Amino acid sequence: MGEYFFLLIFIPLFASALSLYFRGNKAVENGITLIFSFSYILFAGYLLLTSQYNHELVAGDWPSGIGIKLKSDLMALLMITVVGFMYFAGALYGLSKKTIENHRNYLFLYHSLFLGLTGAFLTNDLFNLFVWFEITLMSSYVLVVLGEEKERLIGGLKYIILNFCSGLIFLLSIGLIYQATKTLDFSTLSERLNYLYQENPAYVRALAFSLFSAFAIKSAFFPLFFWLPESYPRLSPGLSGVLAGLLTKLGLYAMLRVFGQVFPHDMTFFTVVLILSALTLLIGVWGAVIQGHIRKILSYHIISQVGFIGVAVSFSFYPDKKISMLAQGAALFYIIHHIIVKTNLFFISGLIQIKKGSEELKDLSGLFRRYPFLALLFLIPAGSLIGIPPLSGFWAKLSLFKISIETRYLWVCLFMILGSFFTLFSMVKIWSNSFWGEVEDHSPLESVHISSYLAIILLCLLTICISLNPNWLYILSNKVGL
Amino acid sequence: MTYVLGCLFLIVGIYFLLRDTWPSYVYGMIALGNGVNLIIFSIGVVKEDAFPFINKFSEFVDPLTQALVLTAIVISFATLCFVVAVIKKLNQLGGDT
Repeated sequence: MGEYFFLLIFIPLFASALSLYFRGNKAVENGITLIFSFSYILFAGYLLLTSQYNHELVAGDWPSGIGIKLKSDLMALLMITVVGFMYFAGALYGLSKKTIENHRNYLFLYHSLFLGLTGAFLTNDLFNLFVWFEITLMSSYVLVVLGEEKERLIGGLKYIILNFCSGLIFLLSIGLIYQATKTLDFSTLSERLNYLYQENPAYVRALAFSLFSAFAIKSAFFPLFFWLPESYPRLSPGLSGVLAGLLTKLGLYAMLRVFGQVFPHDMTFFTVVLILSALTLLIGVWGAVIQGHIRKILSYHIISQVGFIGVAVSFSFYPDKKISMLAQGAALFYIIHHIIVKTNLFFISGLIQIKKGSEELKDLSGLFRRYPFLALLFLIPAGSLIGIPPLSGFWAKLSLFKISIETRYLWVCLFMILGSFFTLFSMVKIWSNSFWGEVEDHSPLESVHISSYLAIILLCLLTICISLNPNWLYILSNKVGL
Repeated sequence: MTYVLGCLFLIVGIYFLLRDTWPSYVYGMIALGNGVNLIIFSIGVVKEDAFPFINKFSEFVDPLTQALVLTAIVISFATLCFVVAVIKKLNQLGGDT
């Protein structure tokens, strides 16, 4: 069964074709979406649990290194399984009309977004990584501007142009890498780059920096994050949850794969990326502290969490082999934890927006009295994002602290403690302003379809599963570097 | 030669992107996209009388860069068209710059 892993790409492809054919017919479209996304989880989970990974497929029977190669290794399958849960949860959350864009092409684009993501995880070739990235981004471009409001279009335009530029930088560095090594296949590239590194380290370093700047725009690193809070808070709740959970993490995954496993590990490059990530995690959370709009606060939290993951990713190309392997596992654990938690937080704040018609903290008060269940659901991902002990965020941060203490980078620990403190501070701000307090207006609240609650409960259960048994995921993700 | 031309295109593109008006975004994107494509194209050796496939009659040049450029042109052109559509919509909604 393991050699049929490429069917994972075909599931969202067929789903998008079918939903284009049946567009306008809501019942059929929703049925297709639920069935296909659920079979996606089942298939990916089956491959992961029966450990049928490390299969390869070279298109057209070309010799390896020439043909287009797909490979299902452990890292790809883990990511795909988690993305599959988001696929299903997003579909479930979007069953009611209020939670997503009311546009007939929405589900078609939703499926093609996941088509691009699946391909990007499975590919084993730098240029194909670029192409799958562009498929993902192309669907997200259209999704971001599906709306008539002027503000949203301007935010979307910024998003498109910045990502277009990052795509061009990506392409340019692919060209330069091809010129230097005459190959783009990951395994051959790794050998030739290591060889080149012994002769001319500065050249390889320059290639790494140019590729890094492309990924840094996509994953909202410190000087280049301004597109993110401009575009995400204006989208519909269902859409913003999926995009916020997945797109920046795709950039981080690409960094982990390319710099951790393909490029030679270089001390200068490591130091620069580490400093940038530390700055990202602090500056992002300062942005969150001054905002007064729930999803804007959460958008700035994405940036600071990207900084945390960036610390783990930068340790994955630390010159020492043992540390680098530990850090790859830690980064993967953090990415998985973060995707689930962040999507969930966006979904919950979307429900608040639908119920109260506003997300400004000054308009909200006393939600706890009226909706204790929603408050409880909010508490799980929020606590996990901060890193309160039994929850999954704590385990993710713990391994980061362990690595940075082991390598004597104590200032990174200081940055991470400050970052966590401000995250706590801004979460408490949301909590005390919107959930606590007296019930001020007693106007009846909009009711929400039960499926949206089901999606949130599913994601909460996933977080709790990781929290109660982190060892399973930890051991699995530590096998990645081997 | 094509390198220099590509770099000139990049400079022109960055100049236009930094001017903050909607039409100049389009010009900037055209120039940047084509500049990058020219540079990648010139990475594979371009020769007269040489084809990008193996044949009996002449020597051949690296076909991969030309394949890369083809894909890249399609992607950047599609994004460009989409941006033009978004800008048209913004103009219809009525706005300055």
